[in-house]
Amino acid sequence: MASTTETKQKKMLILKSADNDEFEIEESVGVQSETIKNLVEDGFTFVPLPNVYTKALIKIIDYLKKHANKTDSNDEEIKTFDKDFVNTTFDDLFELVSAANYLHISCLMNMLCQTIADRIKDKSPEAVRKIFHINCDYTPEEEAKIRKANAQAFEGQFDESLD
Amino acid sequence: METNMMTQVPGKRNRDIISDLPGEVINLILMRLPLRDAVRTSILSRKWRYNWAKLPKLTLDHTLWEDISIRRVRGELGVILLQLLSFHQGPVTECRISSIPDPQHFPVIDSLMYFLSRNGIEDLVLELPLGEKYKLPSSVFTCSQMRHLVLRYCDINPPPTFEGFSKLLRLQLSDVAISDKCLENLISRCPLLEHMELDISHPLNYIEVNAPNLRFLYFGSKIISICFTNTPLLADVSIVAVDVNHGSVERGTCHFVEFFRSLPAVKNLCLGQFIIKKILTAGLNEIPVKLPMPLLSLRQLSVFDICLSKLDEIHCLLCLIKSSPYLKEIVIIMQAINNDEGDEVPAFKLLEAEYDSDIKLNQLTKVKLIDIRGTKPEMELIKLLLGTSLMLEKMLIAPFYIEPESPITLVELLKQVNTFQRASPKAKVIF
Repeated sequence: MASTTETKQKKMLILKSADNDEFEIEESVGVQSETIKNLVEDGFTFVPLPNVYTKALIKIIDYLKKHANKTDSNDEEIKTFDKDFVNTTFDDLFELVSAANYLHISCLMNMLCQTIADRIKDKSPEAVRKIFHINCDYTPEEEAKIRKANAQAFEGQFDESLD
Repeated sequence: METNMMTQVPGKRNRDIISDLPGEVINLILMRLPLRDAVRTSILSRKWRYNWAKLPKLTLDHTLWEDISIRRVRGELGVILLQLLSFHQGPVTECRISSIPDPQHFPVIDSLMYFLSRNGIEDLVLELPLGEKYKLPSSVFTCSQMRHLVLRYCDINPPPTFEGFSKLLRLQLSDVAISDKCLENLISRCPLLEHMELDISHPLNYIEVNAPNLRFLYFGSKIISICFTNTPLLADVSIVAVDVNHGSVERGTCHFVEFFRSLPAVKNLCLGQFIIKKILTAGLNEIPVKLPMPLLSLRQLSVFDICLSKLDEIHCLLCLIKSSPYLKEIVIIMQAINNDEGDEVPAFKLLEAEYDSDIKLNQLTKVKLIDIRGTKPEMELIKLLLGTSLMLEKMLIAPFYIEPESPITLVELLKQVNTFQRASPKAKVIF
């Protein structure tokens, strides 16, 4: 159990990123991540995160701090923060989504996956391929066959823009 | 320090990252897309071919066929849906089916239900078109994993072999056809049921609710009588059905005292005037001054469509208030159409006598009185609540549209309320 001096102070955790940077955060902020929570419950105060790089970890700590201080009155502020948080490049979004998935932060996962989904919605397959640099490895015959199998999904006008 | 972020390593730009995300992340992204958009990802590359087909959550609604002409939807909807399912792999735990255009597609829904019943469905929403009701096939009743079930415009008649949904937590039925007996059986065969909302399309006679885990009940159907036989945890109860033509109840009835005895955990209670009448089977003499078992959990009491000049209704209201020592909030909505004025004097006398007794309400902090006309019993009730509630913080009085020939004008009503003594120093009256 914690000593008396520790209980007066806030309990702290140290997170170590994949590129060996260490960050000290309050335990109450960290345990929003299921992965960290499980480690804390097992008595750990030093948490190595071999799958999370520094740049993503800084952003995620920011997010956790903001959401740990959620009250009724700062709802709007958090909404604005969230909006800015996901307003970034796809590369960053994927880095964040992998980190959030590893850390099991479900509200952040939901927000990131929704952001990525919103950018795929209504786009043509060709546009999606270009946006995400997906290399089509089907032969033209195979592609035609797959299109035919669920033809109704490919009917209509799609968004060809790459933003 | 070396960093692996791709933004700082030019060589990593233009790399396909999304395809290499873990399967569960791809699932989460695809589940947030309309199914049609998710299906289109099958063409992206070989890796993507079956990603959509493994989704455990499917939404089958107009977004699937909105780009197809109505004429073709009529002909091809079945083919479209069944083809989709033929590609699907693995369990479908959640499925939402809505905006099916017309009853000619009911056979397709039968096939869908059969498919879902064999693929571990846990959460089903089935909303069908208005009109002819879809008869639920027996396969639905074999879904042993079902946890949430929402049905709209269906005809429900479980087969004799139905053993119940042993894991069902939440049941919502709106505009469905179901017999008294079937509904009763359905409820009693879902032992874990916690939340139930019922809005049956035709009047019911009488049902007994046997639901040991039920916590929330909304009952919006017409019914002659309802009885709770095993509902020890039921905390939120709304019975808001409108009147049904009087009929005789062949099976049991529920009496006033028993009705409340069977709701020991009720915290929020909302009753329509009509159901109050129904549980007063033996009339006025049946209402005690206080219930033998007080409603110790009751915090909020709402009654509506009540007419305070009716002696039984005011008796019932007083009995409930006096039997609930921890009541915090009362909401009373007066009857909007007042076609039977009746004699106000007995009700007024009753309330007046109550005011002179030593009744004290120690916990009540909020009162809302809606559609007040300023009748003598209403004014006496306001006086009673203001004069006996020691902790009252707020009383809202929302007057009904006051006609020129009303017994009292708004100004008079205000003046009169201001003369009433207030037991709580904090009490505010708001109009």
